[in-house]
Amino acid sequence: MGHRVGISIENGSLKVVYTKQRGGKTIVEEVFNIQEQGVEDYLRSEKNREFYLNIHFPDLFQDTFVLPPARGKALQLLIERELHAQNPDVSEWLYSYFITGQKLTEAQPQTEVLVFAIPRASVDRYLHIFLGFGKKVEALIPNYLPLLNLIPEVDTPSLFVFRRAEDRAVLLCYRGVLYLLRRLRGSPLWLDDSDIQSINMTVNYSRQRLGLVPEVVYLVGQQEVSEDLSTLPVIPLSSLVTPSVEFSQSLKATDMVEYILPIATTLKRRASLLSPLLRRGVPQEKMFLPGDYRFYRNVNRYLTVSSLLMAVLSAFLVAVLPVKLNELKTVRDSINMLRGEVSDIRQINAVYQREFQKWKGYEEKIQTLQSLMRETSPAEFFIKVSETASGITIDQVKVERQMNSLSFTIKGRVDGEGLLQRQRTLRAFMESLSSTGIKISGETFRLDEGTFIIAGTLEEMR
Amino acid sequence: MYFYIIKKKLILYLLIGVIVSALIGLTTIVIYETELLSEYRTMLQVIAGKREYMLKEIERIRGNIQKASVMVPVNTSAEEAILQRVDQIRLMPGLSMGLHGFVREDDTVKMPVTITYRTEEFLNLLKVLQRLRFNSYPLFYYESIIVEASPSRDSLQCTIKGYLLTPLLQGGLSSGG
Repeated sequence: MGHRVGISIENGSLKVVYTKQRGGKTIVEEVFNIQEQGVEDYLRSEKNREFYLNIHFPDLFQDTFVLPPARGKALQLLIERELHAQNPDVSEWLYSYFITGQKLTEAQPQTEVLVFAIPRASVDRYLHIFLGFGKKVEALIPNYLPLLNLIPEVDTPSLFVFRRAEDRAVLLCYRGVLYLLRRLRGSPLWLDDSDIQSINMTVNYSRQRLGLVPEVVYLVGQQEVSEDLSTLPVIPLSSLVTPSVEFSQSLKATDMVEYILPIATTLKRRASLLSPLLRRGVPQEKMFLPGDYRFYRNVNRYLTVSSLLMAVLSAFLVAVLPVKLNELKTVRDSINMLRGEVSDIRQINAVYQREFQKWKGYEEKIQTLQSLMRETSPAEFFIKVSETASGITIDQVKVERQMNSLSFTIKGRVDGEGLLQRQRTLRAFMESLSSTGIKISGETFRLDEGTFIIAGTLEEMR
Repeated sequence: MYFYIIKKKLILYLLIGVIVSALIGLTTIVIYETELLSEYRTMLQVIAGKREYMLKEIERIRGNIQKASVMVPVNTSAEEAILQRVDQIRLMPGLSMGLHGFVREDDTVKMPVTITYRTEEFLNLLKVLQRLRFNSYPLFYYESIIVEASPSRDSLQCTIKGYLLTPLLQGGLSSGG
């Protein structure tokens, strides 16, 4: 597979070529002929599904229209109108065109357009045959127009002559535009004097009618020229080399002439004369395919691609679904388990709230008690006094609780003989008390008797 | 006009479309349902965690209430608690106690008391003072203390005024649940 199958249909027979693209070249691998009545058998048994068609329509319309200056869709509309005016019996045309020049007619600018057109019904007849066997028509180029796939863009006006048996096709090309296509008949063996005369006449016609002077004649394919020519061409003859096409070893190079049209139909268009036409949005070979067929092709292609994508998506979803369902089951199971666990949550919450409220009642009381507990114990005061009472005899200690403090009165006597000694002992006692945080607010000291009364407070240490 | 050729293909495509749409729909529902249930499960897990927490809290609060009920007797038993404490204090050797009856305020029951104590050791006095306060309820609250040495200085006479106090819970709550 991977072949491009080109078929040329002409005079009740089909010329079939199998080509392959390799390294930028077209390799012709197989060629053969079949009769038109055997086409159904051929299509039924053929594995390839895509075909490149060259059909020789006897009703191919060819003319040069002189139209008001227009481009794009507007120009196409004018061409269609002109086609209909000239052929009112044909309801729909499939056509291609080349803008060959501008000229002034009665001081009005006009556009000259070379138009090739086929009645739609003629194309449909062939399309239905191929589509009936599930085949696709990738390209359809009528008559000798496939030769344009072989002709490079030339900078000088040039004639291209193709001969196959009695048939000749003469094409005038210049800078990617086809200006003229003439069909002639002549000797079945070679190009002879009559052909040279026709070429000379075409050169003159081009000069006079088209304002183009062809400078060279290219012979397309391996063409034989009669050795005893009595008429000389007015411009030089040359052979058009087509290096992009090769024949496999089993085929003869002479097949090139015989099968050149189906081969040319399968060629890539980029380096050919057809390439400028691509800028119009529709490739030349597809302009002869009906618009609704192209739409059908696009839809069909879309269906094929999207079916594939959908199949992949379906497979993915089918794979994902059980995983997700399993996950769902796991979640459901764990939910059921959890629901069983937390079914008593309302009762527990009610108990919690009740216990909490009960505790709130206690909490305030406990805080009151703890606050009282933190108040300084009188025992601490007594310890402080006992630790500091050196050389002192205490007769009475009175402690009373005040707001945030303990007030006290200490009555006692100072031991010692001398007054100074008594004085020092008492001062030392009072300083010791003060150093423990006790504040002394008053004192009464009778030196002669050695008795004293000390009053003060001990602040709460909370 | 060419579509008759792919009529079967179109029907097949339509069929595939329906199947894929159904699969997409089903998968979406399953994914959505799984997400929804996962959220619900998370919520239930939080509730289950909360349940555990509440059970522990209930135990903790009950323990606290049990401890607190010692410190804060319930309404009707406040006086009994104070009298029990009085009996405990009376058991201390060398100590005598004068009682003044109950005083009930808003949420507190008090019993003013006067304690006299005689000892030959200052250390004993400190012990008594500490024991009166040490972790015993109803609480003994000091108002004044007078400590005097005897004329012969061989003993100490201590007069303590204060009251036994207990806050009480109104409404007769019972401990435990």
